[in-house]
Amino acid sequence: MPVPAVVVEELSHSFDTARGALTVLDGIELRVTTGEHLAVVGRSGSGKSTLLSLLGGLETPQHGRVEVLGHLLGELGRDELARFRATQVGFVFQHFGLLDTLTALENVELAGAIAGAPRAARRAQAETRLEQVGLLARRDHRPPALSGGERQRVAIARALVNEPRLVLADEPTGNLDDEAAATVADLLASLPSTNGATVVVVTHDHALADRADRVVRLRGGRVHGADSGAAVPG
Amino acid sequence: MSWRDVAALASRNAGRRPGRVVLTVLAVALATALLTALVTIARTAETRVLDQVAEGGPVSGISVSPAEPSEDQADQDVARGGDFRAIDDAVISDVLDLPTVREVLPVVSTPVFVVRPFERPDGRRIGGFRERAVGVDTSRPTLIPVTPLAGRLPAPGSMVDVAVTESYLRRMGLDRTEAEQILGTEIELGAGRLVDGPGGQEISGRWRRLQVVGVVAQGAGGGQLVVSLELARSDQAWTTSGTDGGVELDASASPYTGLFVVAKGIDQVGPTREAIARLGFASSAPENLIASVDNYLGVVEIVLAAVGLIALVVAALGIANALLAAIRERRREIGVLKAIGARDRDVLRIFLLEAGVLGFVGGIIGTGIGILASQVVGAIVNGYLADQGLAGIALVLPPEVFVGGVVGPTLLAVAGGLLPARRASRLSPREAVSA
Amino acid sequence: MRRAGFAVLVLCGLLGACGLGDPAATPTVTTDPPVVVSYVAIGGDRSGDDDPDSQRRQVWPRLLFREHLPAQAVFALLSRPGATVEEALRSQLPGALELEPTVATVWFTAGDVEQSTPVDRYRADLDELVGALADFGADVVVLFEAGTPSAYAEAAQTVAGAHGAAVVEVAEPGDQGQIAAQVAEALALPE
Repeated sequence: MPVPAVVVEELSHSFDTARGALTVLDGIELRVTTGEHLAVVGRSGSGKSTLLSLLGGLETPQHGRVEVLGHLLGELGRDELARFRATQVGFVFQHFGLLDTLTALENVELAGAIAGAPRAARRAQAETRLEQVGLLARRDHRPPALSGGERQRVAIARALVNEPRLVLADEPTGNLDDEAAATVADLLASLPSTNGATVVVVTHDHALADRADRVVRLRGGRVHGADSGAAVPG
Repeated sequence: MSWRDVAALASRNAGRRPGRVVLTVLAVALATALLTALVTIARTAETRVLDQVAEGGPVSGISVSPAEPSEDQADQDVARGGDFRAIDDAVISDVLDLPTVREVLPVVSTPVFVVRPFERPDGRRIGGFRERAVGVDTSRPTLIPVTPLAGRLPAPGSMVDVAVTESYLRRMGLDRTEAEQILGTEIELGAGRLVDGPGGQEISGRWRRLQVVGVVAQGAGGGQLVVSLELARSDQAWTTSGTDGGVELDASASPYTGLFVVAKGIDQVGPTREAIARLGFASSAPENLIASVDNYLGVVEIVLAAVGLIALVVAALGIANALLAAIRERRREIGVLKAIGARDRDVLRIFLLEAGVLGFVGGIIGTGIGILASQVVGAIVNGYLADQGLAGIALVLPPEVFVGGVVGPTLLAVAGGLLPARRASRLSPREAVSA
Repeated sequence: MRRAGFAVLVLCGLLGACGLGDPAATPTVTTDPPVVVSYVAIGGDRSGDDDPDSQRRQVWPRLLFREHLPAQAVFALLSRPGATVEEALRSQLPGALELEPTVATVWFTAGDVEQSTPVDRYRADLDELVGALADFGADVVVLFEAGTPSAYAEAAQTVAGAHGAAVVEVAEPGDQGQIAAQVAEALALPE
């Protein structure tokens, strides 16, 4: 049996709102195998992004158990979580999350700097990742000079620069046209084989979800269905 | 993240909102300029005073009277003389031998009659009047506690030169700005003495024609006329050779009517006065006055420094405000930084450094402007002093102004940035995925 | 930041009040070589009015001092209206000699004529007085008024001649400037 990259058991999470506590996740059970490409789908407000935040250590779980790459996230301190995010996880956001004041190369390199990689090594690694996403030629351009698709590819390069074992993507094609979205989807789908990374994508983009090995649907804070390569109903 | 990486990131961010950055830096610069200018000007003035005091200039001068001292003499600014006691050359030599004494300037004040000029420059007739001529050794002008307004002091030993005071100017219907007008005019001055005449005691005059060569700012030893020591001694001798020894005309029987003693520094004024009292003479010194002037100036300094500091604190608050605004705008960016692994302290350092850079740049610009401004103020002050017939000043640029002008605002800016930076560092990485 | 602030006016006031002006602003000059001229006016004529009001009337000895003698001159007006030579020997000559005179003017006759001093006595006293001044080294000028009884006038001229003193006959006793100019001429002083 393959080693699980992610094990989630009885995970519940709620937010305080003006109308009282709003339960977003309600007893989630989920396993993601190492090297698996998983898509999480569901309507807006179904808890997809919250689940991704919990898997990436952006938040600590309120109830239940989240074990990622052997780390029990509920038991890590702030600095340990930061270290976990820097070295184990690569994030891709819908809004790209690039710094406009830095060039493409510097944006990619920044993740290496944060992880504490030596200057020369992280520069080389950043160039490699930009090459992987096909943007080495645009290394000295700042994000405002890049198209949406290019920006997202820079963001993916940044997510890969520290060679993470888990890549988490939150609506990565949400702001892209079809052509760019297809390119990004190709890139993400290739990561398990080229980089040996486990990929979890949160999306309601059917085309993107179709590329996953498996799709899980969140509804009412619970997981419904765990189809492999199945079509996702709207 | 290494400091170098943090610095690179912070310096890039400083250029993100040029308008806001320029305004913030300008506020720091203006506050620094204000403080720098105040400190420079104040230090210039203070340095001059301290120099004078430390070098034993006229500020640490003591006036010795031809009288025995009162018991509490050393505690008094004013001479409270007892019985008459003559000051002669032997006394001068005794005082000069005191270890705390730098210089002794003998003074002779003697009564004179002035019969000319007959009229003022404006044509109004004036009568003759009695006055005192004060003789000093003008070969040592730096010791003489008077400030020239125009012209010069009488030449040493001159029997024809006279410098007049402001009160003489007023008698002539002039103010200090018109001092030049009096130069070159003639004064006919007589020393009187009492003689036995056929009809009883009479006053016989011996007259001189003196040329006004200078105007001085202060009353000189109670007289309006400053002459050479030789001239004053000659006239005093004439008056005291009268049948009454000069008493009727108020001439002193002491060969010298006073000494101006310069101590070796302001701290030596007290001991010197005690020693002079032991020699048997009354003395006066403005040391208590100096002390109170000094205290007063201290208060003024504190107030001015406080004004500058308040401006700097306001500027620091400006930096804090600018950073808070920046953090509000950059919540998601901060979230991304944390999502890709930045620790709280990395974010803290980025924002503190941004604040520091604003303070540093503002400090450099402000120090430059401040020094420039103090040069301008210095020029205006010199113009004013020149108008008043006073010597000008040279600006003193203390090295700590340069250091403090840059380090101070930087530290204050960092302090001002502390709260916003801390707030930024505590932001949740979840901000990265919030819509 | 040590105590560090003065207002501009405080600064200016302080610099003025404490005499902190630049010492270089009080240059000294060398003394002129002393040309000591000590002038005494002795006599019993009207020139002896030495009260403050008459000083303003510009009596001739004062005009001589003021306008014809060098700047360094000192001057004493010892004459007293109505004084005789005999009185002057007692009350004026000692003071005059104390001044170490280099120039002396002597003008008697009015008092002696009025008091009818015998001419011989007048001549002898005047001789003693002018002699004392001349022996001291003073340039002496003896004055008499035109119209003075001839015996006194002759006596004055005789005494003057005996001591090498100049003689001035005053034609207009009311014209002080004229008298001063005449005396200056007799002493070969500048106009």
